[in-house]
Formats: sequence, structure tokens, C-alpha cells
Amino acid sequence: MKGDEHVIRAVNAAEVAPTTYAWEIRADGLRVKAGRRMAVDGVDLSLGAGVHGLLGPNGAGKTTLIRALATVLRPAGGELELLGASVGGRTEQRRLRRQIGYLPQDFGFYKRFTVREFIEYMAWLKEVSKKDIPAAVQRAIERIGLADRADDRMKTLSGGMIRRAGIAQAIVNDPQILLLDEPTAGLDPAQRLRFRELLRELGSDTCVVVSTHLVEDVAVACTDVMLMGEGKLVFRGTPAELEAAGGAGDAGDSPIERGYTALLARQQPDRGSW
Amino acid sequence: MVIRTELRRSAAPWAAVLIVGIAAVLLFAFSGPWWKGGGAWNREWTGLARWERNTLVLLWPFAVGVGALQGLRDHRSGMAELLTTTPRPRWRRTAQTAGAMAIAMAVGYLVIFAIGAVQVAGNASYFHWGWTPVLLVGMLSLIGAAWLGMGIACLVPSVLTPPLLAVGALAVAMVTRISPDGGSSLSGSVPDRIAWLSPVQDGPDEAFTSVTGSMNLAQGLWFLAIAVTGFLLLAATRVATKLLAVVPMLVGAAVALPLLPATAAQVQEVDQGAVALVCAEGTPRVCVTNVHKEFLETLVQPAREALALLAKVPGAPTSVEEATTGQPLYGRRPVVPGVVQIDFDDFDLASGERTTTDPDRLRRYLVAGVGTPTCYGRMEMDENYMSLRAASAVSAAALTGELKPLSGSSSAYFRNELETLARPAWESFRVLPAAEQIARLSAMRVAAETCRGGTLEILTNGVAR
Amino acid sequence: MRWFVLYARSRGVPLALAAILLSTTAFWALATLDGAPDQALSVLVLVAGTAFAAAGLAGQDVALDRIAAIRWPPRRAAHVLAIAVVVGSALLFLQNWGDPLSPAGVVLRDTFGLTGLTALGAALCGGQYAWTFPIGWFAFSLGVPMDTEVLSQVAGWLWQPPGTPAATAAALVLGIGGTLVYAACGNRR
Repeated sequence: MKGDEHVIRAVNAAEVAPTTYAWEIRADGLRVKAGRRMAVDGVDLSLGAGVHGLLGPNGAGKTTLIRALATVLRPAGGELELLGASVGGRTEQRRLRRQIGYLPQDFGFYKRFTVREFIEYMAWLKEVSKKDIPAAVQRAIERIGLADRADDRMKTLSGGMIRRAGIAQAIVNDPQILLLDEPTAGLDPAQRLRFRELLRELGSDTCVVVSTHLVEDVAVACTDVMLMGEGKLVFRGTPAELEAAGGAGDAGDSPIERGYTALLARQQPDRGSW
Repeated sequence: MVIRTELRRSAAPWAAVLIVGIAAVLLFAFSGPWWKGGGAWNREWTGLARWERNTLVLLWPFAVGVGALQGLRDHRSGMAELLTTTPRPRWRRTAQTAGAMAIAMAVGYLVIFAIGAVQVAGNASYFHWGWTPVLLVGMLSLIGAAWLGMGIACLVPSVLTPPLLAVGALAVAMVTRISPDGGSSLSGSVPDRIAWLSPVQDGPDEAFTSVTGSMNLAQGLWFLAIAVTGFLLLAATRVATKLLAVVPMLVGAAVALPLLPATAAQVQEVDQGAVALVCAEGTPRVCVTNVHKEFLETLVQPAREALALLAKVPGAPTSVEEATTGQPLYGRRPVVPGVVQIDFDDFDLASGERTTTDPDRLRRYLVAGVGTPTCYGRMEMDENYMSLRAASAVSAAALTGELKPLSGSSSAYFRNELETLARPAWESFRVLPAAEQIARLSAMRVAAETCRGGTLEILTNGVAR
Repeated sequence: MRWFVLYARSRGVPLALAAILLSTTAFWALATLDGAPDQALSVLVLVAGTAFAAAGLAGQDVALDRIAAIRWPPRRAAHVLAIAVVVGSALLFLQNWGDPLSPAGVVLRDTFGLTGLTALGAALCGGQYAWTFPIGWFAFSLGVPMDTEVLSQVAGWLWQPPGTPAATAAALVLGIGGTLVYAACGNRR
């Protein structure tokens, strides 16, 4: 990739140190509340490096799960371990958060900042060391293809560009865990192709969790798919396994869509057509 | 790096510009008391620092309002969720915004001071550092106001918060402003000490006083406490910390209130460096205060001529000194035996902003009333006022040989005074024998010095009614 | 009625209304307890009322408001006039007790002019910032000399005694002008 040819990234000690954990994300009977509702109700996970697609209908608990992984919400029960550390401890949490990149579903930003200033600001908040910030910001902006708009104000960007700026801020600290909640919403087809490529690239050494409604993104870019329904994990497997779950009789225009509807229908037989 | 971004992209830059703009409009577009007398904002360093505090009546509410608008940014941008997932502690992040805001407030306030300083540097001959606490306390009060606005808006992120805070701050600033004699519009209904917690102070009308140290110290602590409370509100992540944020403000008030002066008279003190007398070489003695020493050269020649004229009258003063207090609103300043006191802000010498340098007018002023001061305070006038002024004009004419108005003002009012009262008296006086003239002037001097009245009759008839 | 309630809720009217009534009462109580009514407070109370109502002039989403099929201009004008009625009548009502803060003529003139000014602010800068207009003019007019110059009377229209032609004209121009501009253009995009 173009950016990597001339930007050489400093590798810090934490990155080269041998890992002491088996999985970047490990959850055991995880329960998380969204308001009063138990939106995630007993999820077991063990995710390592790779791109993990998170699928499911509206209200299945995808966003709540991602928010818990992003340390926004505290688990109401069960166990959640990120990078080998149990979520909850104060000092641990700060160290942990340096290694997390997060794109929320409702991505807010300071309108008057330029793209570069905004990403710099986020890099600073993620405690990227001061001397690395300019290079890290430039790399993130180039990876996401916003280099030509880097010095424009955030408020002048179109919806898709804002989404890309959101992805750029999520990857600026080279996170070990990258959580993207509907990153492809608003991206044009060409950008989505580019984004899938980026996902595959990131997945080689990072644990990426992507929540999406676009099943074809999952089929192409993900190494592994999780399907959520009503707060529980309904299915976990490769995209090929998801395709295999569907038969000709299931609703959908592609094999993977048929697999998706088939699995959900099996879990919730009485669910309506929406 | 982040603070640079905040300085450019937050409300800070235009807040600084507006602070300068508002203060400049207030100071330049309107002719207020800040243009008048020796304490004017463009004349002396203390006057500048103190009159700048007067602009806080608008700047302070503005700072609260603009802080509140800035404080709403996190809420409006919808970044709250993303910000909670970042490792850097909240106080480190909010410190950047608060720092940018504080820089803007300080720079805005200093630019106004600099605009005044350019004028003062050309006018003032007495330089000292006594004004710095007044300036710093004013600056601190602006920073505190902005931080408090930011903190409260963070606590209650509603679109109504900025207008509510701005209106409240404006009402508080308007009713608590401190006048130079220490009172405020709240006097009577609220203890003075509480009103003295206000940042807004009216400036002085003379150049001889400064704000007392205890007043500056107490106010400085109080505004520091406000700033700390504002910052804690801004930086707090937990409800308990937010509740605890009021503690600094309460402590600040508890410490500041006993430190504040007990009586209105203790709000300002005589600036000894300013009132020290500087005298011309030789005799007779002609002295001005240190703060007006640049005027000595202009004064010494006409003053000695005036003393030579006065010497004809037995008992007349034999030296000239500048008065070291402003003309009081009511009553007269104490008479110093043997001394003609000159007040450069007297409206006979300074009808506009500037004291006259015309030797003839200076001489006339000094010999008027045979060197006695007026009996009337600035706010006083009764039926005898005009006859006293006419008598002064006639006595000045008797010594200089020519009847001329005392005031430089050419208003019909003063011409009338001269023509209807002084002219006939002068016509009858000038034909008297020289010995009788001197006797009447001497009698008139005694009457004027004791404020007994009837001075004009003494000149025209030889005796008071 | 239902439309009215929904509209009021979407514009944050209940909270603004509470703020207006509370501040009017507070200022009135302060002025009444203080003995001689302070003229500055009697004007500031109206400034505060219109400033608190300003946020309601902005909708949740300008684009969504604009594409609505209903005719906005008369409704927007009605909103502005409703602010004037509420702010003015709140003070006039309270004035029945104790010394009046200011004559009814002044209350009517100032309220109308201030509301128009606020509406103008919403059209130019958006409802979020419209409150700065009445407060700004009020603050500015604190320094305007009280003399008989027409310019001072126009700049200080808030403070003039009832029946001053220049002040009444200034209030009418601001009131009618602001209402018309806001009715025609709506909140700033």
C-alpha cells in the first residue's frame, strides 16, 4: 500500500513483547444491560486476530455487545477479558484503552476541527506518544483515503467521508482490538471495496470486530462470522459455513443471505417478516 | 499541539476578539466618567487598571455566556461516547479546552490594557507597579467566569443554560458593581462585604488613590476559587466529584469575606507614591504631586506671579501646593493655612479632559478668592453659589487688573454670571482707593476662607449684609 | 390541539416557559423587595424572557421542517407573537401586585421589539445563538446616554419613557421586521 512505502512506523516495546493471553477478546456468559433491558444475555466468545463479522437483526444486541467490548458499558454479569485483562479494574482499564480502537454507531465529532486536527486530537486522547502522532495521523488518513481532504473542516465532509474519518480515528493508535459499529454505512461501492481490503489488511495482526447489516461485506472480508439474535450468539463459523446453513427454500438473494435467514428462523420461528 | 488546535477551533479566538471589541466600544464610543479627571483611563496607570475593571460589567457576563456555549460543545457534537473510551483522563482533555479559553480571556483583557497603556505611556509621568494586582484580579475574574460557564454547561447541557447564565451574570454584575466610595447599588439591602465579591469596580475620579491590598487579595482568592469550581465541574466524571466542586467556591467565600475591608473607606487607600509632593527649586514654594510632576514646569512661573500678586493682601497665602485629594462631592477639602491649593481637575482649569496650560488662566485661578478654596462640593449648589463665584472673579480682577471669566468654558451660563453679577461689582470696586481695595480684599479673604458668605457684598459695600 | 402540543414539545417550550415564568417572578420579587423599582431590572426581565424563548425558534432539524407540507410562514409568525404575548403578559400580570416595574406602554413596546430582535437573531444565527441578540442590545444600550438626540433614543429605545416616538418606531421596526424575516426565512440552516 502506498502509505506504507514512505511512512515507517516505530514499533513500541508493548507490541513486540510476547503476548500472555490466548485470545484478544474472551467472554464467558457475558451479560450486558442496555438501559433496563438485558440486551446481551449470556454470550461466550473467544476471538483472536482476524476480522470477525457481527451479524444480526435490529435489536439483537450487536451494538450493546460492541459497547461493552469498547469499555463504554460495564458487564452486568459473566466475565469479559480483553487482552488478557479482566474489564473493570481502573488502572488496567487505562492501559487497555490505549489498545482499543472504536467507531461508535452514532459517530460524533467537533465540526470546526479539520480532519487532521480531529484525528490528531483522538490520537492524543489515546495516548499515542507525542513524537509518533504526526506520522500515525498521516498513515491513518492515507489508509482511509482522505489525504486530499485532510485539511478541510469536518463539517464540510459528506456522510461517507465522515464515516471514513471515524474509521481513521479508530485505527490511528494501531489498536490490538478494533471495534467498528456499522463502518460501511454511507460508503459508496468503490469505497466499500477499498474498505474490505483495509479490513483484510488489518485483520492480519489485529482482532477486528465489525458489526454490519451488509452480509456481502461479511462474506468477502471476514475470516469468521458471528450471528446474534435476541442477545445470544446464534451461530459462529466461517462465511462458508454460514452459506452452507441456508437451503434453496430460505428467503434471500444470495447463498449467504439464505444462510442468515435460515439460522435466524431456526432460533425464532415465530418472528415476522421484518 | 492539542492546545493549539483548541486555540484555533474552539470559541476561544472569537471570544478574545469580542472581549476587546466590547470593551473598546464601551470605552471609546461612550463618554463616561472614565474620560474625566486625573483618574481617567487614559491618564494614569492606576486609573487605567481600575477603569478596565469597570468594563467587566459587560465582559464578565459575556465570559460566563461564551464559556457556557463552549461547555455545550461535547454535548452538541455527540462525542461523549467516543470520549469515554479514550485512556487519557477527562481532566487532561478538559484542561486543554479550559486552557485555551483562559488564554483567550487573558489575552483579550491584556489587549484592552495595552490599548490604554499606549495612551497612558504618553500622558503619565509617574510609573509604578501598584496597578498590577488590580489588573490580575480582573483577568482572573474573567477566567473564573469562563470556566464556571463551561463547568455549569457541562453539568446541565441544555440549550437554555447559556442564556440563563448570561442573564444571571449580567443581573449580578449590574447590581453589585462597586463604586469608588465603596458602596454599591445593593448598599442597604445586602451587606457591603457581599457586594464586594463583585468583579466590577467603578474607576477613580482622581489620580491619588489605589485599591487596598486586602481588597485585591480577598477578591483574587475568591475568583481563584470560582475558577477551581468551574474546572472541577468540567473535569469531574463522577457525581460525587461534581457535588464536591462547590466546596472550593464556598471555601473561597469563607476565606475572602473576613479578608475584605470592614468599611467602605478601606476599599481604597491613598497612594503615597502618587501624592508625594515635588517642589520647584527656589522660592516661593510651588509644589505638585508626584503623579502630576510633568505639570510643575508649566505651573511654576504663573504660580509665582500669582503669589507676588497675592502678597499685596495681608494674610494671603504664600505658597502653592497641589491638593492631594479630589474635590469631595459634598463640602470642601480641608484648608491648609498659608497655602493656595490647586486642583488640576477643577472645572475652572479642566473644562474638557485636559488641564489648561494657559498661564493667564492658571494665574487667575490661583488668585481668585484671594487664594481661598471654594466652599461647595461637586454636587452642591445653592442661592449663594453664584455670588461667591462672582466675588472670586472680581477679586481675581482686582489683583490682575482685568475682569475675565474664571472658567475656560464659554457657555452662556458662565458669561451670564460674569455680566450680571461680577461686572457691576467690578465697576464699583475698581474706582475705590487702593488702600480700601486691599482692606476689602483682605476682609473678603477671611469670609471666603471660613465660608461665612456675603463675599460679594464685602467687595461692593465693604461689609457683609 | 394535538398538533399544538407536539409542536410545543418539539421546540422545548415547556422548559422555556418554566424558565420565563420563574425568571419573571424572581426579577419582580427582587425589584419589589428592594423598594424603589430599578429600571435596569425592569428591562432585564423582558430581555431574559425573550432570550429564554429564543431556543424554541429552532426546530430539531431544519431540513425536516422545511419539507413539511404545512405552510410555515404564518405559523412561524404566530410563534414569535406568542413569545411576545407570554413574556409581556407574565410581567403585566405580576405587576398587579406591588409597585409596577414599568408602565404598561413600555412593557408592550419593549417586549414586541425584543421578540422581533430575537426572531431576527434566529433567522441570522440560528435559535441556539438568537439569545445573544436581545442581551447584546440590552448590554450595549446600558452605555447609551439618556438625552433627547434621536440617535440615542433609537439606540436606547429599551429605556425611553412611554410615548417617545423614536423609541416606539425602533421597537416597531425591530418587532415587525424581525417577525417578517423569521416568518419568511425560518431558522438559519
